[in-house]
Amino acid sequence: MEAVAKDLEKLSLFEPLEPKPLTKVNDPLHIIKTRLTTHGRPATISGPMVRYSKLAFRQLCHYYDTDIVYTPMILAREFVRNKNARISDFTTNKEDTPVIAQVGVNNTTDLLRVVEMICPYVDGIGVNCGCPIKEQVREGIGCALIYNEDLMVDMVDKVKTKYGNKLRMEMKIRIHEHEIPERTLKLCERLCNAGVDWITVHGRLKGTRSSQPVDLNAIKYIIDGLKGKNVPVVANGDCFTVSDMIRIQAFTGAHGVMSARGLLNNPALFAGFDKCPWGCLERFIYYCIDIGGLPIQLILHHVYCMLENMQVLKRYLKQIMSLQSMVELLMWLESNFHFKRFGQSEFATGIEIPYKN
Amino acid sequence: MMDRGRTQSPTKMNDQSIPRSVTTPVTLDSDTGEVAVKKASGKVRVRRGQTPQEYETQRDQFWGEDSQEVTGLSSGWMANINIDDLLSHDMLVKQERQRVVDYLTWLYYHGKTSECLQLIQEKVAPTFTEVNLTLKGKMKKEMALLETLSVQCQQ
Repeated sequence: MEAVAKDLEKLSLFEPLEPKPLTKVNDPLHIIKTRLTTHGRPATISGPMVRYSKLAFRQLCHYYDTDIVYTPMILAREFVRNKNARISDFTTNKEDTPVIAQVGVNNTTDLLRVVEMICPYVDGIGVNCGCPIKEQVREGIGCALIYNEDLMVDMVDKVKTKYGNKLRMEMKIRIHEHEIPERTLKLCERLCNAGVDWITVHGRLKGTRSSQPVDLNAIKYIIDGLKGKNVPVVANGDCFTVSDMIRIQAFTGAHGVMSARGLLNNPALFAGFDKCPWGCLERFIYYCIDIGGLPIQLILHHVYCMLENMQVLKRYLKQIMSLQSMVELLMWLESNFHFKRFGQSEFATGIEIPYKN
Repeated sequence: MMDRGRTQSPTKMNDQSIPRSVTTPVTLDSDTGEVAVKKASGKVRVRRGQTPQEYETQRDQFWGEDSQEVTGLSSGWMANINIDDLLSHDMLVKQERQRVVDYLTWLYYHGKTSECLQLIQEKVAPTFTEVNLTLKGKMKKEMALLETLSVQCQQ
């Protein structure tokens, strides 16, 4: 009896949960494949940004016409072992869709575990094979993966074998070489054969700084090379305005365009605003307060980026980072600008900065 | 002979096609996810695996008791918060205190200033003061914030 009791104790309380059901509204693959036809533009995608792609920001991007949003990179090793890491990395709600959980991982076991845990709450899984941060690359995570092709293929194969079309899986890569990245194309072909649903290509090398322009020729080369595979490609890099999005799509033939830094500075860019509108800031503050849980330093960085993009007077930028809490931020906004809270008339409708003085 | 569960390295560590700064991890045990990674110094470090039982415990916690915290953050969710519930958590933990502060901020933002002030005066300030004593005055910023909020709510 004791042995049976011990065995029962070992049994999980839960049968594995199924992945979130996919419909035309939340299936990222359907969206990526159809936006050109249905909307006359590529799918608009907010890239994963370490620390910054949290729920409030994702919700803001969705509001301003971003079709698909990504979580920040979730380190699989931490996520499957530590509750605090999970809460810090991933929270969601009903409005947070379609959302892709992006995973940083260096082995298939951890990947399968994190996928199983998170798949009931997200619309797809992406593996980060592009992060150039040294600490991650040394662990074999991020950009290191593009030099470990067999492991990447194994990851796709294992996840797609287990879940099939119930779960969408993306691989986000950097290129190995400029202009004609043959090695990258070969890798992409293998990923397609393994069943990847779409590939996002950041047109920079592992060591290329973001100040260097993105290599659109390389992205085009890969897209042209994959034409027979029926696997869409998303172009990532240097998208700061809608005209950039149109230009990148037209040049490369990508099904979707991903922006990261562009959206950080102007979350309304895909809605056609070349500069961040004031209302976007008001809405961001509302989401932050309504959802809660974000550290003030992170919120201040978002506000700084948006105000800098709006070209606010420099003296205001200097003041922001000394604020200590959301209450202080609200007081500062309300004393210097005609700032509107949710529920007040003209909330989140302003375009220009409403200076008080 | 290889250990049980050990798999071949996906790519060799000294492969010429791999830049020096890049690590290709070697899976030592595919049941637990134990891997060996090469540090910048050249030393190989083993990243400990996680047994299936340990994993299932974490997974069940995520799907069970934590699921509301993870997925229940729809617009207006704070309207259902009960301050006594919040304060019943371990206030020595900063993240738990932050939830209380977030709720007060939410009340203040939505113009519920008298409710906010009342909660600060009757419940939060006494609790935080006590915790601050236990933490030997390490909550200066949080105490200052309560003061600021109180002043703002009275205006």
